[in-house]
Amino acid sequence: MLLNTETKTIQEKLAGYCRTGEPVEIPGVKHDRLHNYRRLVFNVINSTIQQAYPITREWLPDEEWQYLVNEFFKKHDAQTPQVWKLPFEFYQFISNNHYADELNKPALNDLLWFEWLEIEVHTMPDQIIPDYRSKGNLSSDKLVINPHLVLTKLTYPIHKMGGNEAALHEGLYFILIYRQKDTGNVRFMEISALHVFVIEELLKSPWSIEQLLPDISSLFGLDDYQTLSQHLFHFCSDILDKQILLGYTN
Amino acid sequence: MKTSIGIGFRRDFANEFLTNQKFTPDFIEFAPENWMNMGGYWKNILDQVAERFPVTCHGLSLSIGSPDELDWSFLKELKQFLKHYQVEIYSEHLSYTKAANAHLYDLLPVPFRLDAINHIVNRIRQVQDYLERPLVLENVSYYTPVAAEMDEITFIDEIVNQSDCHLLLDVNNVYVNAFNHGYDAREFIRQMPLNKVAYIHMAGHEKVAPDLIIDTHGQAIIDPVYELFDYTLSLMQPVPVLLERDFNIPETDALIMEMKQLKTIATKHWEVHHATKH
Ligand SMILES: [Fe+2]
Repeated sequence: MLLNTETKTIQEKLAGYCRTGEPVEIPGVKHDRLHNYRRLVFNVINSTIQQAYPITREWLPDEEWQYLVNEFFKKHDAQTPQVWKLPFEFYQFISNNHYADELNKPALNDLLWFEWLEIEVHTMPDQIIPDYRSKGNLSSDKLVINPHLVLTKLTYPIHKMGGNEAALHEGLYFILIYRQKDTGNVRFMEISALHVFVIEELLKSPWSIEQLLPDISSLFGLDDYQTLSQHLFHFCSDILDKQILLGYTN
Repeated sequence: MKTSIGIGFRRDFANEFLTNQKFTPDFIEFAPENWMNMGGYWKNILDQVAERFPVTCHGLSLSIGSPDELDWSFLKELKQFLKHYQVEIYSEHLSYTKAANAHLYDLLPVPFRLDAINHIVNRIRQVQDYLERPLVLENVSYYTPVAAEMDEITFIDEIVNQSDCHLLLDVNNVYVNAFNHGYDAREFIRQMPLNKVAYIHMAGHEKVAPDLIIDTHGQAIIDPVYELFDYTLSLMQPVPVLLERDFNIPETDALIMEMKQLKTIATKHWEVHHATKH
C-alpha cells in the first residue's frame, strides 16, 4: 500500500474519535474544532435510524434511545455504502445483542423488525409481474399474486398495540406486509398459519383455490371441504381487494 | 456553449420537478447511493425525473481517500446504475468516509501528505479504469487540519495533475475553508487547476461561531459567495453550475431565484463575452 502506516493510523484515529468521542492526539488538529466532526457524523447516523424507526423512537425514553444509538455507533462497523440501509444493521445489532433484556423491553426486537420490514417492502426492487386477467372465477381460476410482499412471524403483537402492552401478549403472530401496486404504499395484515401456506404456495406459482384444497386439508387436518373452501374464498376475495392478489391466469 | 444551471434532486421536493412548470433546471444531480437497488414508489419518481432532465451523479460512499480497500462490489453496482440512467458525469469527494472497516457517512478530511497523494492517485486510476470514465472530485470543506505536511492547494493540485481526474469546484467550500483557515479565497481559486473543472457547485452555509462556518447546504447562498463565483467565472471557460440545497428547503420560488441569479452571472461571463468575440 502506498499509504504509510502512520497516515493510516491518523485517519483511523479521526474516524474512531467520531464514533466514540474519546479524546485523541492527532498532530496539527484544532481541538476546539474537532468535536464538530463527531457531532456531524452522529447526527447523520441518529437521524437516519430515527426516521426508520419512528414508533420505536416514540416508545423508548430519550436516554434509552440515545444509549442504543451510541452503542451501535461505537461498537458496530457499518457495512453498507447506502446509508438508508443502515437501519437494518441497527436492527441486527440490537437483536443479536442483549439490549431487549437489558432495557427490559421484550418486544423491542419485534418492533424494530416490523418497522424495518415496512421499509424493505416499500423499497424492494421491482419484480416481474406475470400476465394476468382482472376478471375471472375466484374458485377455479389460477390466482396471480403481487410478489412485492414479505411474510413474517412475531412473538409480540406490536402491530396492534404499544410495546409495553405487547410484552404481555406473548404468542405467535403471522404478518403479511405488502406493497400496493398502484400507489407503492405499504400495508400489513395479520393472517393465520393456513393463510401463510396459501401465500407461500402462490408465490411459487399460480394455483386455484380448488387445486390448493387437498394439500391444505391434509396439512391442517381439516376434512370439511365445503367450510374450508368457503373460508379460502373469503380470504382470497379479501386479498384481491387489497391488491395482494392481482388477478387470474390460465 | 449555453450556460447550464442545475439543482440537486431531493425527495423533499421531488414533486416540484414533475409538476411545477416554472421550475426548469437545465440538469439535476443526485447521490447514486440514495437510489441504487431500490424499487417501488421512489424508483418510479426517479425514472420520471430522469426521463425529463439530464442527470449528473454525485456520490457519497466511494471514500476515495480511505485507508480501507476500494469496495468493488459497490463499484460494480454503481457502474450498472450510471449506465442505466445514462449519467454523463459521476463526481465524488476528495475526502474519506470509511476507515477501520466502518462507514461514517460523512466527509472526513484526508491528511495533506505525500503518501496520501500517492495512495489516492493510485485509487483514482483504478476507479477511472473500472468505470471507464474520468472521476470528478470535489474540493471539500474541512474544519481542522489533520497532520498536514503541505497546504490544501498543493494537495489538490498534485492529485488532479497526477491522476488526470477532473475537478468539481465547490466555490462555497473554497469560501468556507478560506474563512475557517484564514487564507485568501481568490488566490486559492487562481491556484486551482481551473482547466480541469468539469462543473461547479454553489451552496449556502451556516456560521456557527465567529470564527467557524459549517458547510450545511441548509441556507441561501450569501453575497460574498456570489462574488467569489463571479470572480471564478471570469477566469474560466463555460462549465455547468449546480445549486446544492439539502436541508431547510425553502419555497420553490426561492430556489428558482437563486438559479436565476447564478444564470445571470454565468451569462455575463460566458455568453455575452463569447458573443462579442465571434
Ligand atoms: Fe458541493
